[in-house]
Amino acid sequence: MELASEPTSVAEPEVETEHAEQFINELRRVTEALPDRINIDSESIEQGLAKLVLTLIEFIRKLLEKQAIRRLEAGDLTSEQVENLGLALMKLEQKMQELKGQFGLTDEDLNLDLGPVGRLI
Amino acid sequence: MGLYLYCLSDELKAGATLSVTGIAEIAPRVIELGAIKAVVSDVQTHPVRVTKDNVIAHERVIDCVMAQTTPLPFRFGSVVKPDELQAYIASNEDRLRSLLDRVRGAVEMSVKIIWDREAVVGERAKNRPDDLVKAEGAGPGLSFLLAKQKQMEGRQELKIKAGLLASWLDEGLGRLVRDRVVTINPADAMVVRAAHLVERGRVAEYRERVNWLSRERNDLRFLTSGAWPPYSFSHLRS
Repeated sequence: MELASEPTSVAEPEVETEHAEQFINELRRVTEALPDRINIDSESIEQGLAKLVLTLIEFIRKLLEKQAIRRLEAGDLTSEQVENLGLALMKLEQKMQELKGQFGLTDEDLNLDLGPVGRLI
Repeated sequence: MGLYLYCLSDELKAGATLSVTGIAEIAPRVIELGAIKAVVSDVQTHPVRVTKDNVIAHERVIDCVMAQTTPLPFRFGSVVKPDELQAYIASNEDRLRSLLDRVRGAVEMSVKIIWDREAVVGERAKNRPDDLVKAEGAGPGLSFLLAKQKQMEGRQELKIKAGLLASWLDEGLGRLVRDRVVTINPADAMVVRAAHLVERGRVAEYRERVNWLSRERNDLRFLTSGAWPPYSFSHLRS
C-alpha cells in the first residue's frame, strides 16, 4: 500500500490475564445480555412487547422509590403517609414480580445495557 | 450495489491498493473524498452477513492499514451508497480530521477489571450493623422503605468505590495514556472497562505499567489486551 507518510510500526495484539476463565465467563454474560434483533413472529412478539412495557414500568417504579426515600429523609411526611407510601410501593413491587414471572422475565432482562451510558436502572 | 466501509484516513493515497482481500474476497481500494480517504470495497448484498470469514476479512483490511498508519475504523457491516458516503464526509470533514489527529500514531489498549462485588458489599454491611436495627417496631410500609433506603445507600457506595478504582487506574497510568473511554458498572463483576489511546512507541511501557498496577491490587482481576484499531475513539460524538 502506498502511504503519504512514513510507515510506523504497530504492536502485535496480545491478551494478558491470570484469570482467563473468570473473564471469559463475564464477557460471555455481557454478550448474551445484548438485545437480540426483534423477531416479528406471533410467539416472540408478545414477550418482546411485555419486556418493553415492563422495562418502562420498572424504570418509573424505581424513580418513584427514589422520590419516596427522598421525602422520607426530608421528614415532610406524617407517619401515616410514610406507611401508606411504603405499602403502595411494596404492592407495586409484588405485582411487578408476578408479571415478570408470567412472561418469564428476570430483573436482568429489564435492566437494559445502554452501552457507554451504563445500565437503565 | 453499495460500498462496504472499512476505515478512514488522511494519510493514504487515493487509488492505492491493499495487499489483502476484504469481504467476499474482493480487494479493497482507497477513494478520495477531499482531504479524507476511505478504504472501501464493492458489495452486492446488504446487510453483510455476520460470519467468521466476513468478520476476519473486515479485521484483515483494517490490520493492513493499521500496520502503517492509524485510521478511523468503521464498525463491521457498514454499507452505504457512494453519494451517501460523499455527503457524510462532506458534512463531517472537520470533525473527522480532528478525530484523525486525535488517534494519529496511537493504538487502542484495553484494561478490564473484575472485583469481588460480594466482598465489597459484605464489607459495607459489616461496617453498618445499625441499619438492620432501624426497622424494628416499624410497620410493613416503613420497613419496606427503610430496606430500599439501605439498598440505595449500598448502590451509591459501590458507585463511589468503583469511581475511585477507575481514578486509581487512570492516575497510575498517568501520561502513558493520551486519551481514555472508561465505562464503570458498579452493579457488575466487571466493574471497569477502560479503552486507552496509547502512542505506538509506548505500548511496551504501558503494558509494563498495567502489570505493575495489577500486582499492587491482589484483590482485583485484570485483563489487558491490545494493540487494537481505535474503535472506541472513532465516534463523532466522542
